[in-house]
Amino acid sequence: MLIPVLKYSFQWLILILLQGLVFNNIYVFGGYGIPLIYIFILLKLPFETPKWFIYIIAFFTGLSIDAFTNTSGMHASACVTLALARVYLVKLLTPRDGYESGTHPSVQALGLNWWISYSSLLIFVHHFWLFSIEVFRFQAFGQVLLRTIASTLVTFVLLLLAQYTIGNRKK
Amino acid sequence: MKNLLDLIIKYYGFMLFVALQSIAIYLFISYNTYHQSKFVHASAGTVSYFYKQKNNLTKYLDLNEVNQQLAAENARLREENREVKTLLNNINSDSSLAVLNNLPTNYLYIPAQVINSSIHRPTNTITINKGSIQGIEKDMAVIGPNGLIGVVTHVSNHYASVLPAINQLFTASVKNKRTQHFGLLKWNAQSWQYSQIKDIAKHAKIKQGDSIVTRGSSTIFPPDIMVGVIDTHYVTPGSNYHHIKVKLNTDFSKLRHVYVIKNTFATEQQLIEEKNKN
Repeated sequence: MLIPVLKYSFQWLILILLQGLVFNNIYVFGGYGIPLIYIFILLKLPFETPKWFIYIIAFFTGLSIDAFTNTSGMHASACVTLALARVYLVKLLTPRDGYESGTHPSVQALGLNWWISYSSLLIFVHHFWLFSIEVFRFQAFGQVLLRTIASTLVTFVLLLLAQYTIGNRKK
Repeated sequence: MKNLLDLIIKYYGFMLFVALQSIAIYLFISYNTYHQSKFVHASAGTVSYFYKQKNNLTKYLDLNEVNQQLAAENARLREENREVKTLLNNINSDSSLAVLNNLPTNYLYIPAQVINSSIHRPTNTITINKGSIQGIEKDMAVIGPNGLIGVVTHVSNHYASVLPAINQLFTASVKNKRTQHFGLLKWNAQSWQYSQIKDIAKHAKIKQGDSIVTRGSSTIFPPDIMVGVIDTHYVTPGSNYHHIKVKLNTDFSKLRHVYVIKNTFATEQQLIEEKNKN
């Protein structure tokens, strides 16, 4: 029990630092695409994680990123929304014979198609919520949508690559 | 009672979501009125420490450009210095103006370095490596070699965070240097190279290329700090105001050396303005 918790905390810290110090400075598509890879940690929580834990960890993950970008509550709000979406999406995407116990969402466990629908939807929800409350004006809707789509694309590709490189050596 | 308990147990996840979401939104709104914000922000010790380490690694990358900026500023200051000296000599020879010599200076400049900044968000921020120990306080102006940058919003012992001109919450009173018409500079959260002024009346004869400088009416910015030049301007039919797009003089993507300005007369000015109101 202790080893996975330690491992998870360590991964969490690395991802937060990576996002705060490296990926927050990367922009593509003329500044519209921002890779927000830190949500990987929320997407990868094991299927058996209790609901309350998902919400709490999402809230504090968001707050940590907020500390880096100086936007108290903005990422926290988006992450909690992502947590809600995750809870319902995991239920919705249950395979016919349920999830194998002890697994977590991944291409290896459930296949590429499953991962694409799972991750792209959650990334979109998170980014759309984030960029909407950041601007908080209806006039800027086009801009928000452009930002959301560009960033969703970048984050999605990076997380897909991460699927094949890190954190999945054992099934 | 039992039904209520059942309800809570059944929907506790969603209730937790509502509770946490409310806290987050509350934090975010109190950030938007940024003077009241007391929660997490980048000037808090831990995050600033990481930024400093990152800065130590990356600060050599754009040294060339930074040096050129500083050299250009030096040249400009030398030129101004020469002009001031000539003026001063004239004054000294005229005893009736000798009183000007003893005027107290009311602006102090504290040099600082930018250790983190962003340019592509509506909520851009800058973190600098000087804090309350070095005399930085909230609401001090921050300028760079090329002019206006922003205003200090949070201060910790060794760091401060700055609200730059390219943050949608930033406003500053500015004027057209040639015609002296003044207005409010407010960024529209789009390109980081341009900001906007929307309240200069349409009878003002402004033109492309006019310099925009700070007005110096508040206690934050000294007058005549360079802001930028007018890029385009137009009047929408039915409106009484110019819509002005200002090309910012400061390159926010390459910030390194900045100056924090302390207005030693700020409290005095605020006091007298307060009295005026009552």
